[in-house]
Amino acid sequence: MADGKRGDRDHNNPPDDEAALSARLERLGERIATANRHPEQDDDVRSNAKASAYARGFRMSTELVAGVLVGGGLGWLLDRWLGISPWGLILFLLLGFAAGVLNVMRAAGVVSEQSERLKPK
Amino acid sequence: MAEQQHTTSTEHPAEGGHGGFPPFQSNTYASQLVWLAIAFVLLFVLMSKWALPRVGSVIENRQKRIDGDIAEAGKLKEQSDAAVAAYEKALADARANAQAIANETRDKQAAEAETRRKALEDELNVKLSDAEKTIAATKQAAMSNVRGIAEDATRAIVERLIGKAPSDQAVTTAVADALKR
Amino acid sequence: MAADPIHQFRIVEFFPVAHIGKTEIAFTNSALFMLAAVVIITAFLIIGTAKKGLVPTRLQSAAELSYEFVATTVRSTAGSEGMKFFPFVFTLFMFVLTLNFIGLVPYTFTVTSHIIVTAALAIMVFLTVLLYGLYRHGFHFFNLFVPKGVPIAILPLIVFIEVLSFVSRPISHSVRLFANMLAGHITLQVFAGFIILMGSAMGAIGWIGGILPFGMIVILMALETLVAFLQAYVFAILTCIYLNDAIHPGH
Repeated sequence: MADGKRGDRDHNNPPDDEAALSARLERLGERIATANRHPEQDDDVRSNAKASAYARGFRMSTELVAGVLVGGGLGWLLDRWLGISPWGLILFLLLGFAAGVLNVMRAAGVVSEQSERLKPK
Repeated sequence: MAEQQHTTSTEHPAEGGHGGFPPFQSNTYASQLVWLAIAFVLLFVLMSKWALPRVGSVIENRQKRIDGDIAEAGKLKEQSDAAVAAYEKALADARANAQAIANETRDKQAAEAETRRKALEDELNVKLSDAEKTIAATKQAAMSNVRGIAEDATRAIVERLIGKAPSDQAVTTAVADALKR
Repeated sequence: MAADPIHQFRIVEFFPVAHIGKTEIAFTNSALFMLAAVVIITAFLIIGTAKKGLVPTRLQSAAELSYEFVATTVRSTAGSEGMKFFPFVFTLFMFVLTLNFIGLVPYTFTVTSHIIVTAALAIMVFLTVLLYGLYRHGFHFFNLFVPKGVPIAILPLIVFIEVLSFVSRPISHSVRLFANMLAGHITLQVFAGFIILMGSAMGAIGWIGGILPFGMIVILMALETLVAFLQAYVFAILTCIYLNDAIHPGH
């Protein structure tokens, strides 16, 4: 029944058919244009953005610790080699802490990555 | 990754619960490093030489196909656009054509009517001039009749007045003179 | 036995393979799972693309998804020039991801919960970045450590801190993966231990009471699955960020 009705309507309004045809053509043109725009870029960037947020969070979790560990390790080695304990450890722990803070700020995007410095101005 | 110097542990950590926290048992490091190197290099070679080019080619083929299909669709759309344009042009042409034919027909009919009217008019003119001629002739005849009557009357009047009939010549001249005035 | 949360991390030696000096190289459970990961990854990709279908099967789209995912990550982080490291990053990502996921299966061994493995991977990345950076930029590469517009008096200090920051990368890189996997598995094991403990100590009531920790295990398991993926992803994306230092886009 619904089909018959629809068929009737279609037959009754031939000018609508023409308008519908041009509308369909227009829509087809739009779809071809969007399909041509290499869809992968848009979608992937969006889906990766969420994972990147998690990644950033996890990245921060150990950056500070790593800086302190490296500083502490270097200080401990210097103490052992030069016999200046505990001054090496103290100094290098501080430096390591600074490096760790720098790491965290980089991970948070507050400070630009080191690679930015290689870019020609 | 050639750092196999930390070893020489006497205990056998794999057996028994002693030997400390497993990730920090340095006597297991050498084995792990060696196998890690083997596994990683093996995987890297398998990936870069075999698996990745394969997956990449599959994806590339599909992309090529999709691009081709989209280009095809675009071409077909252009064709249908052209068809629509052609259809519209044909429609406009037909409309213009019809208009032209209508105009032409109207003009022709008008011209025909005009000629017919002119012919009729001419005919009427001819008839009119004929009629005028007839009238003129009749008038002439009537005039000449009048002249004859006038001459006769003149002759009779002159005869009665002077008792002698004037010459025809004189009467005619006199009547013509009088008529001229 | 299940109550001991450390037991699962033990390296079990199957048989010795070779000796380097006094060092014994043995085939262990760690080696077994590493090779298993290699086989699984290769099989996944090769079988997945066996038909080379235009319309992918489920396995094929999974294989393609992993490819596209890593490719997008590399391209968006290290630029198109970084794509020359794509096989390297892909191998790293899939290796870590697979080892993490294998570790989630009960009674298996988690290779990435050993610091030596994660450290070796991180140092490998670090050396790759350093060597490629030096190869590509020469000593100009060390400009990485020299910020612009800093007074000359404190420049050495800043440079030193920058160097420390650079050197701390592999540590941060490896400790993060190691600690996350280790902590997650210990937590799971502890909660599993609770069930056994309650069950054996209090009988039927204990078993019913064990439902709570069991629910926790289910939640934790979901969380650990997420962490297993994210850690592999973080490992890969940081590798890309570090590689970006060696490549630096924008010519």
